[in-house]
Amino acid sequence: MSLPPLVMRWQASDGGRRAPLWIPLFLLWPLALVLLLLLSPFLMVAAAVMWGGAWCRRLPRVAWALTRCVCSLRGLEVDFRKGEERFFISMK
Amino acid sequence: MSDNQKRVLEMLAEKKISVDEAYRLLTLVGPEEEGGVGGPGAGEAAGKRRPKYLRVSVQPTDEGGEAGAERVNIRVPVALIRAGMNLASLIPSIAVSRANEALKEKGLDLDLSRIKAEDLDQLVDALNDLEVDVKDKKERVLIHTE
Repeated sequence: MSLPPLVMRWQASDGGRRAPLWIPLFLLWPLALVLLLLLSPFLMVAAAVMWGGAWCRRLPRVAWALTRCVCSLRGLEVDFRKGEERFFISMK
Repeated sequence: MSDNQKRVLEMLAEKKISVDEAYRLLTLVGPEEEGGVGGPGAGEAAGKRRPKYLRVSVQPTDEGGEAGAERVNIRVPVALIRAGMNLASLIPSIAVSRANEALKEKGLDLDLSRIKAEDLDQLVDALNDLEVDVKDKKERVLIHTE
């Protein structure tokens, strides 16, 4: 499993000049991790209370699958152009 | 010169691909195997190279190209396809049946519940040989792995 994408380039222009947006995802992941750590006591209490449910037992597998999906986004590129319109997104 | 390299050059000569695309394909095909035709393991080694990306591109042809013609270029990591299919296998059965109905309405007779994780490796390996090249008057659709 590779690292999650570190940088996202995003551009949506409608004919007018618009510079691509450069989003530093490498700053967002630590923030998300800190948020997850802060919420972890509440998540553990909720999991302990609702552990009997089938969907709750499936939750760790879903969380892992989602993590793999996010980490696999690296290298994704979508470039759509029609005339002057352009939509571009790139994950590196 | 390998068969793949010859094919790329033939496509370039027939103007099915541009010079940039031919260069990219030749770099992906790799250097010539030693010994000219290639040893017994060379074909297997080349065949076992796992694709990393799935590329879908829609380009207007020279005849049908207009100023406002659509151009689409999508590169999807194969790892994302694999991870997505793993995630799809965790969808609850109620949601799977509704998803199957929605797909059927669109003309896709698929059963998402039958997708198994062990089939993914075979599917990903099969993608290595995937090459779709459809050309009509207005546009050309290319799907291949790289």
